[in-house]
Amino acid sequence: MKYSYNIFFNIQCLTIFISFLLSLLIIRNKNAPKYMNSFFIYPTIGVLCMIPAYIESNFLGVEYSQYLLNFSLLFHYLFLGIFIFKVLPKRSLIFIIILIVFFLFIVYMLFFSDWNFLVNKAFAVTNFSLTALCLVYYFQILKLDVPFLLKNEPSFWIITGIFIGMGSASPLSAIIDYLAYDSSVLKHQFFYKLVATSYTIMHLFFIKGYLCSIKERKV
Amino acid sequence: MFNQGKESIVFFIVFGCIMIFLLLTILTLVIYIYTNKQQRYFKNIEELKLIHENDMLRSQVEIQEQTFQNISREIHDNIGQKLSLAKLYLNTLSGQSAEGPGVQVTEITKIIGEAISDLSDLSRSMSSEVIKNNGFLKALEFEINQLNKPELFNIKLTIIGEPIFLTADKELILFRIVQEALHNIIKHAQASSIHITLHFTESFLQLTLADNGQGFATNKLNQPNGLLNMKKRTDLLNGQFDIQSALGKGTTIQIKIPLYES
Repeated sequence: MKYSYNIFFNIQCLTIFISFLLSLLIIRNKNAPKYMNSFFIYPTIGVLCMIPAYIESNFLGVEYSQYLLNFSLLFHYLFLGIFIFKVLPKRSLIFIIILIVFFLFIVYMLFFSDWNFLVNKAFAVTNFSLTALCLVYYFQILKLDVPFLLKNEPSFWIITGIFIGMGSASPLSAIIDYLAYDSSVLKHQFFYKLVATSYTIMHLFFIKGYLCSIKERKV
Repeated sequence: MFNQGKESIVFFIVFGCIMIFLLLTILTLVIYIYTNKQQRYFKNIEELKLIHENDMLRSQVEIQEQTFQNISREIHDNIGQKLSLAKLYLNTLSGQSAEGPGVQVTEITKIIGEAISDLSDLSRSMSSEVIKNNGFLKALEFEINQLNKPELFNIKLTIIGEPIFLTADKELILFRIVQEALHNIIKHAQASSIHITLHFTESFLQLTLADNGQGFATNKLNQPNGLLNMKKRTDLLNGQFDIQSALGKGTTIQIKIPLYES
């Protein structure tokens, strides 16, 4: 079980690392969309969180550091939430309110509640809200008067990555407790495999988004 | 533990697959609707392009027709008259005039010389090569000099700002607009003074033609060909055409043309 988890985790590390390297190519890209200029921060933080986790997991034989996971989850939610807001064709106040409300709820779940083992629930809430925000993006692009080419649009690939990666993990992470109610080890293994898979899927789409930005520069 | 774990894994995988399938279905639906909308949009753009191209083609044909009419009129009214007069002199040359043949030959030479000069001016005025080789401003100055020659009008040219060279095609169209406007003023306005202003800014060129002629009521205007041609030519340059006139108060034509493609 531990060995199979490592495979998932190592694939996730590799994808995040490739995503990080490609995101660096966009920093000085003048032709890339403005919203992509600061996107390198996300995979950079991802790599910074991944290094200690990778050492822990592969060499020290312990699981992901809880606090590191909590903070990375918060950053993940806030960064991607703001990113979706930035690329929305029509920005609305309700969107910000939803973003803040969910953020406060996740902060409460992670740091202030006394519920037992809430990371998977916080992960579910985070991803549920991100998926909902992605749906807002999709809904808005369908209402655009002048449609853009989706396959060349980095924001579309990034949002799709969040939608597929996080959307598929959200309900699963919520029901983990019911699937493995009598085994915390099984619960752990399920959860971390799910996290690894969802992040891998998401970063694969991010890579496509970066490639679109780089391609745009060449054109 | 093993059975419960196995069942959970199966459930986990099945549920995960259903979730991914559901999300992919939503995504496919979004892409499908979006692509349909995009295709409709591009189809509309293509249709508009086609309409625009047809309009342009029609305008070009009309402009060409107008140019031929101008040439025909010029040859008939001016050069034709002079050559007819020269022929008349030649006919009378046989019937010994009191003044003697020398005077008549001098007159004929003078008339033929004027006809050749007029023909040359007409040719230069109509030829696009002159505009393409010398540029819009030189061609405009030449045209103004030609029209000022008979001293019937006082045509003034004012240039504001740093002149910017347009593409040869654009300069040709612009020149034809000014030519058309000047010919219309001369023909219909009964003006004695025409003021042409070229205002170059960073992004556009504003051309103003103002005369002190009899003017006309713009609201009663029934789209004369000359004005229509000017409007169509301005459209070819993606510009704006505006005319202001009132009876007894002269006419002002304003044309605003973007210097660069947006």
